[in-house]
Amino acid sequence: MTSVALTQARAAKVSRLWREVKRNWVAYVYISPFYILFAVFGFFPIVFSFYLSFTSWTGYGQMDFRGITNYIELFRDKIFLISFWNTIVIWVAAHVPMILIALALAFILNSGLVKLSRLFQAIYFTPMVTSSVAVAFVFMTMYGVRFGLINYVLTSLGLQPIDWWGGTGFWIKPAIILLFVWRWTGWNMVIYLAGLQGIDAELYDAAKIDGASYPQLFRYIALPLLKPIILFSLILSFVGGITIFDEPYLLTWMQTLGGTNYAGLTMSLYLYTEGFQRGHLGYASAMAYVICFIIVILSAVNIKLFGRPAGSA
Amino acid sequence: MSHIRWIKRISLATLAGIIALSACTPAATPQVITQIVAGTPIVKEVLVTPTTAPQPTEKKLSGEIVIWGWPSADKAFEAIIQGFNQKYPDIKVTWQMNPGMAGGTRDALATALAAGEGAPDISMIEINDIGRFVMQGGLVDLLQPPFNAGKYRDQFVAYKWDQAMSPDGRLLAFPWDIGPASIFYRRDIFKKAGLPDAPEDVAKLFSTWQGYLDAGKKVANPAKNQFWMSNASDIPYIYYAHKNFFDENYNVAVNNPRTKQLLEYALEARKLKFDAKIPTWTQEWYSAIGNGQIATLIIGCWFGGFLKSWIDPQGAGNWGVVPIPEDPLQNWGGSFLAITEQSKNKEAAWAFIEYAMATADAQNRMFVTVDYFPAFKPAWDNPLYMEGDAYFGGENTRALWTKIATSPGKIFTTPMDATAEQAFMSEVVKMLDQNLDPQETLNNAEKAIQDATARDRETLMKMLHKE
Repeated sequence: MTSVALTQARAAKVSRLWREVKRNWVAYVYISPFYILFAVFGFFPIVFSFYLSFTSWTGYGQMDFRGITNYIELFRDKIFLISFWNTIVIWVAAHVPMILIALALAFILNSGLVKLSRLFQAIYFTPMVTSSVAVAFVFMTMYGVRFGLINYVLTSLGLQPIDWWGGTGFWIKPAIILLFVWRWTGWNMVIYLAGLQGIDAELYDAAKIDGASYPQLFRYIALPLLKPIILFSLILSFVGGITIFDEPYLLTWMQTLGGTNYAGLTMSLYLYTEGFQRGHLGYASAMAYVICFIIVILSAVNIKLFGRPAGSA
Repeated sequence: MSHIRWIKRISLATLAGIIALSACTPAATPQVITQIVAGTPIVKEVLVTPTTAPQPTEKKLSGEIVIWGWPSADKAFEAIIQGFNQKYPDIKVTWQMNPGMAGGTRDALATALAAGEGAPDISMIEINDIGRFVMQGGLVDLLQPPFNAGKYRDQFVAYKWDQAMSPDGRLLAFPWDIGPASIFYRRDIFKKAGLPDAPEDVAKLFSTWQGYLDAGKKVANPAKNQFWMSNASDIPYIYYAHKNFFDENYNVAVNNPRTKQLLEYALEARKLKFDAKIPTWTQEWYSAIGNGQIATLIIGCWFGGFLKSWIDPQGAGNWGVVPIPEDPLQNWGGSFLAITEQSKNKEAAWAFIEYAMATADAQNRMFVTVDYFPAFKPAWDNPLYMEGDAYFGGENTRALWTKIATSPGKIFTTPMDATAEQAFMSEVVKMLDQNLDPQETLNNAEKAIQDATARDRETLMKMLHKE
């Protein structure tokens, strides 16, 4: 009775939708390239690796279905748990300073106090577009144990040089974090700058007339109005931080897995090792899905805490 | 109205761009490099003797074959292609070099094999990746007809051949080059420290690891950045590089007194502050070697080519080479050529491999061009291997390396070695960095290797018990 009516109503709706689609087919053709490419390079791998995560597969020949064994093994894998912890530590320790620096830089560049602000924007953005090979070269030179720039400065000041890759591996994380912050601050700054430029200058002017200082302008005007932008960048950097790969890889590929004591081994680096070097594609897929699950959960928490990001209504 | 026109225009342009993009970049094809830095030829090509290989009497092979690899193999292929085409004028050989080197080639090949399409006829495989491909399949068993590679077995360095064998007795790749390991030392530094510097005397001095460490005491001066060796972990590493992690039943075999002894030597070197502790393959490492701040290096023979061409090109006469103490049969590095099951022209591919890998002429042309040390023993009969090398103060290094490669000793290799090596070295480096107990380290390493290779062991056992 009612369910039949409902079904009919839904069917009518669907056919109406279909008619609409047909009438506007040109528009759909225009948007189709993305969906076709996404289906091939995005959707298919996502579904296929989900299936793979329940199998044992070396990349050729038969796939042995092994249920959730991969997932169970993953949580018993000491090295995976270390890589999980490393990733979290690096993420937090890199993002807190990075976001603060990026916000401060964006505010200063936007304040009009600095001449040539365009030039500075370009300079801060350069690390983003620098070849990773060149970056690794320069940073490995800075982090040199015996003849590195940082150790040279330290010893000139009469301090102890840093044993970057030795000991318990304590200094490997700061090395990765420094490289990460250097690389990504400019990118976050550009996002914040765009947000700041969207704030009406009259608000600042009004506050200035009331006698507000620059720190007060930042604290009471820029920061609250930037909240949605900050949330957006937080989610982006969340995904980027949990999947951090380049920086630890560039700094530790020539050493044992992630450097001494696995200190620089992140989840993505371990995933790459298992999947591509060792050919354990099923296990690596399970790892990928655990990482994905973490991202989804924590992004949801993020949104709950900060409200919906702008433009997602 | 006008903005709709713009949207249409932009989307059309994007559409065209995407189609063009997707049409010209097949996912797994490595970029072809046309220009790379040439390996420095070490001797004149004059010395290469003409081939005495039998002329083909069977049916004429033709077609096109594609080879994947990484630089500087392209130079090696270039050096022999003329000779090959004289024999097989109708086979066109194309090589595509992956800028990602061995790792990039591995990833591209793995992708193409998984996709079931797009693989080359022949691919180079590096020693660290050979186990992975031996386990996964997709490569042709060269012992089967029409290849019948078994006839070459005795002509190759034994361990090299074994590395390409699957546990169930298939030959999945063909041996190319080896990296007989040795100690490279600085003659000038030895002389200054009052140590003997002639290779015969140094070899005597280095007949034991203890002798090697004692000699270091005369040279090492960490306060002045004068180091004895690169990394203390090199001592256990060279003993285990690509081998001997397992016994014949594929059980982990590292927990023994011999390994413990090697770990103790390494620990002693570290405590004496003998090692520079500089990560390998970094600019700092190259500079330290070039400046003579590292007196000895435990490494594969290919390092000689690196020294000559770019680490220490001005250092002629300053370097000498001696075998590894106690167990001279050591190897670091090397690669293989494999034919994929996807190949549509396997016989032509085999003809190429046979010519390039198993004739003395081709092997020596390649050796002269890119320094890939032949695993094919008949190639060593060339006078090339009898003469001294001016860079090494006239020392006959090549004869030394052939001697090292055929030294008596036991080498057992499995497809799990690369993974085992990673797990083992993590524990060794941890021990050195935190001054831990060698026996405890061995217990942990045994467990770590078991854990890391558990999945491969499962696959391997399945492979063995299929018959």
